[in-house]
Amino acid sequence: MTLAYWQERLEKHFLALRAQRTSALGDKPLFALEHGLSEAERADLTAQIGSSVPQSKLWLPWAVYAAELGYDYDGDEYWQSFEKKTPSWLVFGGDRSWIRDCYWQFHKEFGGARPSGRWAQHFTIICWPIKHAVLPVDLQRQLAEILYEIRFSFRPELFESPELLGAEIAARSWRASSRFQNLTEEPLLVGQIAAALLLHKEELSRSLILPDTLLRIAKNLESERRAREWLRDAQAVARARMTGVVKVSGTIWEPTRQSGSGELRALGIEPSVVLRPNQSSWDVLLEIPDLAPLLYKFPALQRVLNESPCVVAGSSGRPLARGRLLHYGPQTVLLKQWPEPKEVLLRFEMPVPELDYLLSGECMLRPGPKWLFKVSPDGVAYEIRGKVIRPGERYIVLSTEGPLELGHGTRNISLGCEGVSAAYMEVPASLDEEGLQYLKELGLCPATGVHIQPVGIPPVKWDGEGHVEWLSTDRPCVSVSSNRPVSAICLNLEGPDAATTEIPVATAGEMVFMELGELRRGSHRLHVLVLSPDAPDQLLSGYVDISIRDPRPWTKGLTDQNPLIVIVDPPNPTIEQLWSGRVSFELQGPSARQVSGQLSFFQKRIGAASTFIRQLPVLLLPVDPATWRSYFSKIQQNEAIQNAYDNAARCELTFNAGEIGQFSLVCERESIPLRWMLRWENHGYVLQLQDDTGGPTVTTVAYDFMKPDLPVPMNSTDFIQTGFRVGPQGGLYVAKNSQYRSGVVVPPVLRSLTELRLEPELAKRSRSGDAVCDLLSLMELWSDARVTGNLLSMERQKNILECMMDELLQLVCGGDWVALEKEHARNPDEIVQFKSLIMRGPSGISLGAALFLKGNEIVNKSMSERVKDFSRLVNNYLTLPTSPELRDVAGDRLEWMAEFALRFVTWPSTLPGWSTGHISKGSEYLLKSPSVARAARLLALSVSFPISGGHSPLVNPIDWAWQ
Amino acid sequence: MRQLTKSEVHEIQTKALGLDPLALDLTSVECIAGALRRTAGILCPCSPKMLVNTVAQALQHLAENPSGLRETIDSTLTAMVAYGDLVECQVAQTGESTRSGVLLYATPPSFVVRRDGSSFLLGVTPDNTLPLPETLAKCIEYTNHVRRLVPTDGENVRSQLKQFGLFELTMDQWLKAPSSMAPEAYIRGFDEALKAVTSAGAVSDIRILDPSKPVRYYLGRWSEPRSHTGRFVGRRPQLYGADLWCYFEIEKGEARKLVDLPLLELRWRASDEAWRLQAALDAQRGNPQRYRIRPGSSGNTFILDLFSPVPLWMQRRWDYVGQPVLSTGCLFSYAIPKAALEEEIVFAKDKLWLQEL
Repeated sequence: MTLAYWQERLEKHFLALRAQRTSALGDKPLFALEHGLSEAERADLTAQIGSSVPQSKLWLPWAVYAAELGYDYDGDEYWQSFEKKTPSWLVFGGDRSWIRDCYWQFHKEFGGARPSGRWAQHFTIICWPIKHAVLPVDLQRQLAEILYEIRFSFRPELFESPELLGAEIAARSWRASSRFQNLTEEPLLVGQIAAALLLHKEELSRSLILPDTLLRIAKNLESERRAREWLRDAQAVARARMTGVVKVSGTIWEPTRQSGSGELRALGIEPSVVLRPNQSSWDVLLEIPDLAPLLYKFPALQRVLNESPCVVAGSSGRPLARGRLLHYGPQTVLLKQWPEPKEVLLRFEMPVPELDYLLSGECMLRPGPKWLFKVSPDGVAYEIRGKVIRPGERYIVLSTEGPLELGHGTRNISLGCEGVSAAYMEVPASLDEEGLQYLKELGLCPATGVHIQPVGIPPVKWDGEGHVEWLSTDRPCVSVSSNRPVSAICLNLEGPDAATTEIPVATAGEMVFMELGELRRGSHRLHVLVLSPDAPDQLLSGYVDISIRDPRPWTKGLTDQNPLIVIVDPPNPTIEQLWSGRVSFELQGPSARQVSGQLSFFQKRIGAASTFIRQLPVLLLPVDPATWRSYFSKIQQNEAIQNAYDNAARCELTFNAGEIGQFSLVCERESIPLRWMLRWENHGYVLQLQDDTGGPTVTTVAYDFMKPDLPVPMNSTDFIQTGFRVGPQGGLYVAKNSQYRSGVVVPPVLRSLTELRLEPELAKRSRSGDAVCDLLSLMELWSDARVTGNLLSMERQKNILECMMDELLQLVCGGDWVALEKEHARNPDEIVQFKSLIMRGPSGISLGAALFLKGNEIVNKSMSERVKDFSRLVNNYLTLPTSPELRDVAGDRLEWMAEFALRFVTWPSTLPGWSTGHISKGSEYLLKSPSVARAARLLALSVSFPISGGHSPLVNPIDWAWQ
Repeated sequence: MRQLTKSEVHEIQTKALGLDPLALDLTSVECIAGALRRTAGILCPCSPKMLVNTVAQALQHLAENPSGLRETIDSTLTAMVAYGDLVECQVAQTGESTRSGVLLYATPPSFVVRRDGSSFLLGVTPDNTLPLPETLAKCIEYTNHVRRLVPTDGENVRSQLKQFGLFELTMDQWLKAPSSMAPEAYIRGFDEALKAVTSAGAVSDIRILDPSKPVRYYLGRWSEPRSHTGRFVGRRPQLYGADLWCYFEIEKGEARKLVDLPLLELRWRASDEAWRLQAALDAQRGNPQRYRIRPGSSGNTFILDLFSPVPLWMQRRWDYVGQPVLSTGCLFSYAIPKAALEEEIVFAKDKLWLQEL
């Protein structure tokens, strides 16, 4: 068949499909993958394309062909495969924008889908064929995995509304790739694909996607064991939930009845306090649940939970590492100060009003001023929410109203937490009237004669009195008994699955067992009324608050429940971050246990066998971040590992400690549309540019290490087509267009050891705002550039940034300051001299002394707290000039300036991104008030001093982790 | 909401654990192990006492023999720790870590492939959700605390389990045992460590394994030191977490010196080292710990009865070659195939200096 034939046939097909879809659903888009061709027909079309020239009249087969290649897209590269599989393409010029034109045509003529979202903005051409591939192979597995993970949340209404199902998938896709997340921006489409896969419902499958296309996707999923198993299990639960849901009698629950806070409560993210004995006092610990369920309802919070450190109110420690509340299971934090009544317990570094609002509702201590804790047999005391007290048990009462009035077996005890007092209470086996009165005065409730208790498989939580938590997959059962003769028991269940029942009891003292039915997630309350034959008018009553939540899906990895735990910050680093040492590792576990390591590199993002594997030296637990840095820097010395890094699309770092746990971390290359590829060939580096932007022409410049601020224009074509052989001197190569910029530091090829030494020269600069801004832009350029596997690349980058930092400090803080920093590098004791250089006069010296003290204190604080502390100090000790140039700055101007100064002297390359157009104003202000810059620099030195170990000048220190 | 009889509760909840209610009830070792795994998936890290109490509390009204229930839960937990579902250890303190004391941690889901193609499944997940799809879950055989995945048609279970995120432990890793030596040589290392330490200070509420008590009744050997003098294996309480295992030097009932275990074999639990040390002390006194062999129900197996607990590397070996069975008149028993019995006896004599009753 000719291409003309395929053009005509496909036109007819898509016209008919357009008409059919419009009549069924209105203006819903078509996808090129819905071509309806058989495998043999696809093969014929592919053969025709392979020997054809792109022609404007025969565009439709090309759109279908490009979508077919998009269907096999693995998230790595598109054009290389396209060019390889389409021999005629490059011969006739290979104009990529023509492919985009084909899809525009498809959009205009048949209402074809238009890509949108962040990924589409970055990859402006390949987003079209990939969008039209509906669900490329690499996303299919992700969909199957998510369906498997959310299977316990399936409920009939999800299958009645594909849009709801799509929204549920979107909510659980926070661990999936950004492309998958992009796909979930269309919940109706995702929901329909999912519903069709789960239930094989014809009427669903006929709506948005052609049934043949869906069948093909399902068939692909079946071809891989893991995806098939995931899907089958999800299908089994979906079918059971569709048909097997047993409605219990009683009031029918309507979703709208459950308040927003009730829904939040059902997520199970409320922290709890426990008391643990410690030598002569008790520790107060805050148990914070895994916050992952919050993302099921509010997926937009993924970024802040993943990327922002979190300060726990009342703790004295450093903020919890990024992702700690998301990937490691429940966390326990020692409280040194009892939080204020309305204090939100978790404060994330990145301010997000929605999250603050949610946390202010659900992440607080339970209202006081008294809290009751029951001492369990293992010595730990757990909170009793209902403050119900039982004879013969041991309790601790906490109070924020000062020490309790002692009596009836109580004694004061000491707590390792300020702001709250505690009394230990051993309740006698029988309580007299006076004792009862005493308990009531303390706000405690003596237990009634009705005892309700979970039986069978232990629930998730049971405080022994009035609060129980089960999973939505459980079959909750309780026993009910009373210490009096009973004639009947009435039970009333409030909540989503309301029900009432009355049970006659023939034998006095008989224990009654009840099954509560399949309870949906949310809050319920079970009331029990006991009727006594002796006194029919006297009722005994009791209740239990029931929380139901979905089980946490298990994903491969370690949590705080395991003896080995590996804390990685940031939690999902790129391979570039790993290599450049911008990832902190901490391994906790039993002392002196051996952990073996392995590093594997892969040339493809998904699948494919590793191209390089290296066993790493054994580590002994525990491993702190400093030990890790030194360990990894030794590994990086290996030339074979350096080369493997250069050629890899991803790497996997594995730690194996036998049965106490194994851990693996996968790091991928950053997915950017403009990227450099470097290869070693014939004793030199060849640099090639991959441009997937589809945007305006790219320009390239090079910077020599000796003159790192002098750009040399280069011919971009050399880099794009065959690759450019870089001279032995190496350098920084930068490619950019109006939207994107990408740099790489190519290491020099050394001929002698003397070449190791580098003394870069910068052009002379006057002390002006423009000169400072120019230098900041250059630092951003060098800092953002990717380094290669060869450590000389990283070393050269560091040298250049240090040289520029020197120049920056020279311009703003002055020559004396820089000279003292150099002296400090030789003799660390000299740090005390800095305080006399901040500003002439006693206030400068006092500020210096205060900064020294602050340095020790703020080392454990978050960046925002450091900024606040610094702005307070500066304001207290310095008379600052007015700042009319900062009038446009939003928020607190003093704090803005404090943050500007701290960033300026630690990570200046973060300023252009952070200061949103105010960089020259901030720089002008610092030139006008250099004492602020000097004070900031002294604080930075005093925080980083023990770690930097004499390296000077301090630039981009890891303990100033700006967002 | 409906009323249930006690047996209906057993039936519903046994089924909820994924076990057969026709063959088992909630007080069976299989169900108790299931309940312990489920509870560990929520509470870990926690003390063994907490885990046992939580399960006992939920089952106490359902047991025909409530007094024996706690003992069964205790021994099942001990077997699960030895098997590898849970790890008892003390995590090194780093920074402001709150994971202090000797606690039970959950082993991440793992497997050990046996020579016959089946696999032992180990570990516990958060909320105890099964990390395997239904097709594989159906192939799991539960025998006491042991979970064995038996592939239906010779499939490659290893790659499947790995695909679903389970970690593989090699048989060598799982069965690794310490080297053999004479009891005197083994004890010498601990004696030297005791010699090197200074006074223990005030240590109260300790309990010791009294070597003068019969080796055939382990629980009966525990006593408070009154007039005892000498060196003893024992335990001392801590404020939170499991009691610590120690080697004590005692004079007239007062602990003069102590070393915490594990001392020489950090790879294993403190209890493993303590039990082996006690076996060595008993052997040195000429009163070695005993075993008994009796015929099994089929002609191809023998029952090996033990009267003292054994280290996990020994129990795992028997989990591998045999299978745990109900014990009578001893602490625990294993059914061992006739062909493997002699080798197992040699191994036990070599490592623990046991003697046949």
